[in-house]
Amino acid sequence: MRTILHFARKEFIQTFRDKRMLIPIFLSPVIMLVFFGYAVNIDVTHIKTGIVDYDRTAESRALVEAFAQSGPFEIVAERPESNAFDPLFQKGSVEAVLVIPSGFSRDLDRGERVPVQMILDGTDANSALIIQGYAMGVINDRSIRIMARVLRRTPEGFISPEIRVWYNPELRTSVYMVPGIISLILLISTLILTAMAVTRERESGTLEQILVSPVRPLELILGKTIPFMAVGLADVVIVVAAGRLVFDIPFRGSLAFLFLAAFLFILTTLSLGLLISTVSRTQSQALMTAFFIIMPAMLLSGVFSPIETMPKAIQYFTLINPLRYIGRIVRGIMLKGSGLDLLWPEMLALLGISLILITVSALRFKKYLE
Amino acid sequence: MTSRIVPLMRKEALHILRDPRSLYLALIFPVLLLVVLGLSITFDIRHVEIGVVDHDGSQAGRDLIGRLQASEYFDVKEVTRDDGEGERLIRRDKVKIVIVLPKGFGRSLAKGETARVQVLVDGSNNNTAQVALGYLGGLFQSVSTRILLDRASAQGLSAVPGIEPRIRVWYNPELRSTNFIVPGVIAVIMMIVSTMLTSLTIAREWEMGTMEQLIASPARAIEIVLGKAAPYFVLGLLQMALVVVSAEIIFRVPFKGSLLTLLLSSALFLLCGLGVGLFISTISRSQQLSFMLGIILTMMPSFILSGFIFPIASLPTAARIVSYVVPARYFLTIIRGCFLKGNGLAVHGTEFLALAVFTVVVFLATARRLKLRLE
Repeated sequence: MRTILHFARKEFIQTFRDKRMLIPIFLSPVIMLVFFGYAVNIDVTHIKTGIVDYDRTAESRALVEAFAQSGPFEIVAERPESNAFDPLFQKGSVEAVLVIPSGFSRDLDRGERVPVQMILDGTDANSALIIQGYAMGVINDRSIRIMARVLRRTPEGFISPEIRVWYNPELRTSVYMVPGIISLILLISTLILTAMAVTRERESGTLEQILVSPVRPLELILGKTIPFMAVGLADVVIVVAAGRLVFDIPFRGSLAFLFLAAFLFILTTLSLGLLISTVSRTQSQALMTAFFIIMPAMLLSGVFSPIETMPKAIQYFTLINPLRYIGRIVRGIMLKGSGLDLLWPEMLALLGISLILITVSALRFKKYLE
Repeated sequence: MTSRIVPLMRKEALHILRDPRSLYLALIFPVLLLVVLGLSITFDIRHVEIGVVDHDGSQAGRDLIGRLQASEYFDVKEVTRDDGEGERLIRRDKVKIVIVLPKGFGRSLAKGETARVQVLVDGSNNNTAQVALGYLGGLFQSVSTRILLDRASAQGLSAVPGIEPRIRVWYNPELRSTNFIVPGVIAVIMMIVSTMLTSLTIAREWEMGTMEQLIASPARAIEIVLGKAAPYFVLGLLQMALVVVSAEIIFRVPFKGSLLTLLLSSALFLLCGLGVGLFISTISRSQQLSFMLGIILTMMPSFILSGFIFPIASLPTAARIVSYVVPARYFLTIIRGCFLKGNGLAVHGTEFLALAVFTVVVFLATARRLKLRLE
């Protein structure tokens, strides 16, 4: 036990001797929070909209006005001809153009259903999809009003939805992102620190010295990993506190449960870090290998993009990704206040994965030392 | 000058070739990243799970459920009469939306009154929630339109005016998100890889103490910088070609522009990334720190402040101002314009200029810092 503590102390001192290392370890959670919590915003607003009104009647102006008043559309230009917008589209200075045909008002008076064209820049497929929805909404609403006028009834639709949003009533992006950052920070910091710690000793030749000393492999492993477990848990505290204080992210569940889950998850990342160090000769190799694992793990976890929209084969692949489970657990605890009664399948999966990884890495590490 | 740069380049190239695993990673990693990013980031939100609590049990309610079921956007998971069950469905993450049809829903509609419907939404993923609510609004509107038309014909009105939206999408008519994501992925990968590779190798020289030897040699700062950058420039172009070809083979993204535009802009962008990498290496002497700085200074901004996924127009003002110094922003505009719109240099002159200015500034700053350290 004493040996382990000595080791842990040495590892702490070594990691933090370079004062600049404090920056990435403790500043990187903060920076990620700023990026993901503050900057990221999926809302589609300020849609640069162009208008071509061939009709120029009160009725056509009313439609233009409906767009201007709707909120997301920002009318930036009006041109007499629709092809005047071609260069603007090319440059990306407009994203949507509404084209009202001539005779719009006259045809409506005759009781016809008049087509109105909306041209969208589809380059950004996600935004375009949302813009399409907005545009249809505005046009249909106008249409229903005109129909209602003719039929002499109040100008509202027949189904009036009363929307209640749970967990994130203002639909803020930061509420979705910040819990995700916790899992990500844990993965990145603990995995890289562990992977580098052993390779550094190997690169500088001190690993041999340790091996000839009476330290047992288990003591070496624990001594090497305990400090990083502490770093990981500290990162959890930082992100939860900053999320709460700065971004006003709710924390509805139990903190103890979150720590338990984080502990399980860090076990998997520490094991992975040890595994990487057994297959890397230099620190830069270890770094690249870690990066090689981090990127897919991060992207195929459902933490930042929903798993349901991924191809089927990839969806199965995510089942072995520990980040998938911790991501769901953290979100469940923070946003929904879920407990073990709902999250036990995820906890079980995390436990299983960590046991497997610990066994594999311990075996490999032992062989590696011998 | 060349007599000193060439041996430096040769030395650096030998370094690259001597470490086959790093070379392998440098070439395979971008392709892997491309595949993973291209497959994982899709916004084609379809089949949103939905639950219905039907207190009414009328034909009109069943019609609405039928419409939901028939729509490709929704997938009706469960129809129940119990409010508690509806809430449980959301809590257990079985559905994203629950629609509650109140008692008298069918009767209100039959009388031509407005029927109130309660919609419960799981907002934890705000993007999905927003898109799904948009779909739902459209569906309700079409029900209203249908009812109005029915009433008109019942009143003997043969012609009812209305406006029909006709949406035409340019450049990406099927709204495939891969067409948007993949060119962006190319840009982001190039930025990450070029920066990481250079900053790590120089940090390694510092760690091993060979950097001092280089400095003691008669080579000038700018020569060292160029000699270091050149081999990685070649490696980067190779990666670029590999990634573009795989993007075409795997994701079949349309390529409407000219190869020359692509080549010129990526060469410029690579120089930019290499410059940033070299600059990082003048700040940091350890590989670990370089790596972390690389993530903070290039990876995160390239992902978030470049318009790669999140539209720049939606960024908060401060972030939008910062985005002007993120080179990926300009390259993304060029490469997307080139792939999807067939735009050439003429359209994107400003972006080219911005990249060029950035590159020159970064290289000058690097040479300056290196010179300071030499003295």
